[in-house]
Amino acid sequence: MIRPKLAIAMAAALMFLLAAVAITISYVTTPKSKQVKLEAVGIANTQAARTREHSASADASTDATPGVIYAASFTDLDGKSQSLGQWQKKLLVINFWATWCAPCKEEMPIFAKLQQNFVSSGVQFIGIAADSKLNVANFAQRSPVGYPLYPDESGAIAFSKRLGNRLGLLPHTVVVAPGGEVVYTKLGLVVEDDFVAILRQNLPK
Amino acid sequence: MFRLRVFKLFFLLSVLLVLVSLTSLNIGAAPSTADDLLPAEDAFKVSARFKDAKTIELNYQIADGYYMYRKRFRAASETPQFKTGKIAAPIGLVKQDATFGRVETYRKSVRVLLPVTKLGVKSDDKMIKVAVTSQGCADVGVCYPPLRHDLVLQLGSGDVVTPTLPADAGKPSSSQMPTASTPSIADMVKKAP
Repeated sequence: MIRPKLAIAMAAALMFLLAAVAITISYVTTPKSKQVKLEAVGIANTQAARTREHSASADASTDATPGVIYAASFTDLDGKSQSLGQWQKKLLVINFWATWCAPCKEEMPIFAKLQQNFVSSGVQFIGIAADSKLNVANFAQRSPVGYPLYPDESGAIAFSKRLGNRLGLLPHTVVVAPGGEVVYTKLGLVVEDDFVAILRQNLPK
Repeated sequence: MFRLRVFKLFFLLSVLLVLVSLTSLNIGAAPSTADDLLPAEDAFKVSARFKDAKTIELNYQIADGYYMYRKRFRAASETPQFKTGKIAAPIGLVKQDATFGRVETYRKSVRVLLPVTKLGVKSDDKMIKVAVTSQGCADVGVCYPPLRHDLVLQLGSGDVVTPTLPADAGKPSSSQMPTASTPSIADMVKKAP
C-alpha cells in the first residue's frame, strides 16, 4: 500500500513535469509575431517606411511585386476596366472588403475620411470587393466612400491572397508606395492613428 | 504533519502551474488576435446525414470566437437525379447591420435542413452529391470568404458524412490578376464558390 505522503509527492512531481512540458511547447509553438506585437513594431521602427506589418496569417511567400500589382485590373461600377498601373506615382491603399463582412464596413468610414484628408498629398484609396456588382452598387449608394470600389466576386480574394493574405480573410489592407513596393499590410481592422502615421511616412515626394 | 502540509501546498501549486500552462497553450480557446485564426475548414466544421428520405440535415460545429451568418447558407445538388430545395435554418442571434438591416448569426453550432427531391421514381441511383456554401467571421474582426463543402450521401442511409474536397479546387478563375511573370488571365487562382 502506498503511503499518502508518497502518493502526493509523486502526483506533485508528475504535475511539475506536465507543467514544464506545457510551458516548453507553448514557447516553441508561439509565433514570434505573437510574442512581439506587430502593431508596435510597425510604427516604432525607424525604418517604418520600409516596414511590413504582416500578420501571422499572411504568407511569407507573397508575390506582391510591382509588376503583379500594377498589371492587375478590375472593372468599376460603370463597367470600365481600371488598371492599378494608373496609380504608380501615388501612395496606393488597396482595401479588400465585402458587403457581407461587418468589420470591413466598420472601418470604411475611416478610409473615406483619410481619402479626403490625403487626396492632395498623393494618396489614393481603392476598395476591391469580394462581392457582386449589385451589392457593391447598393452599398456605394447608401454609404459613399469617395474612392473607387471594384466588385470582383471571384478575383478579389485571389488577388488578396497573392498579396500575402494566406487564408483569404477580410478586411485586408495593403499600402503600396509609389513605384510598387508594399510598405504595409494589415489583416483585420486598422488602427486609425497608426494607419495615418504609415501614410505620412510614405507620402510621395 | 508539517511535511504533509508542505506536500499538499506543493501539489496545489503544481496544479495551478499546469492550468496556467494549458491556458498559455491556448487549447480550445477563442483567437485573441488575427494571428491565431483557424483555417475556415476548422473554424466551421460540417457533417451531414439523411434525416429522412426527403431531408438532409447539415450539422455545423462553430469554433469558439467564430460565428456564421443565417442568410449565407446555400446548397445545390450536383447529381441530376436529385433536386435540392431552400435551406431551413433556425432563428439566430439578431443584430442590426447598416447595409442589410436585421442580420442573424449562429455560435457554437447550428443544424440546418436541406429538402431533397428525387427526380424520376424508377431511378435506382441513391447517391447524391450536394455542394453546400456557408460563410462566417471571427470575433477578432475578420471574415472568411464563402466556404464550400462537397458532401456525398446515400439515400436511405442515416450515416453521417463529412465533406470531400470541392470539385473546383485548384481550378483557375477568370480574374484579371496576372502572374508575376506572365501578365495574362491564363494563370488565375481558383474561383471562389
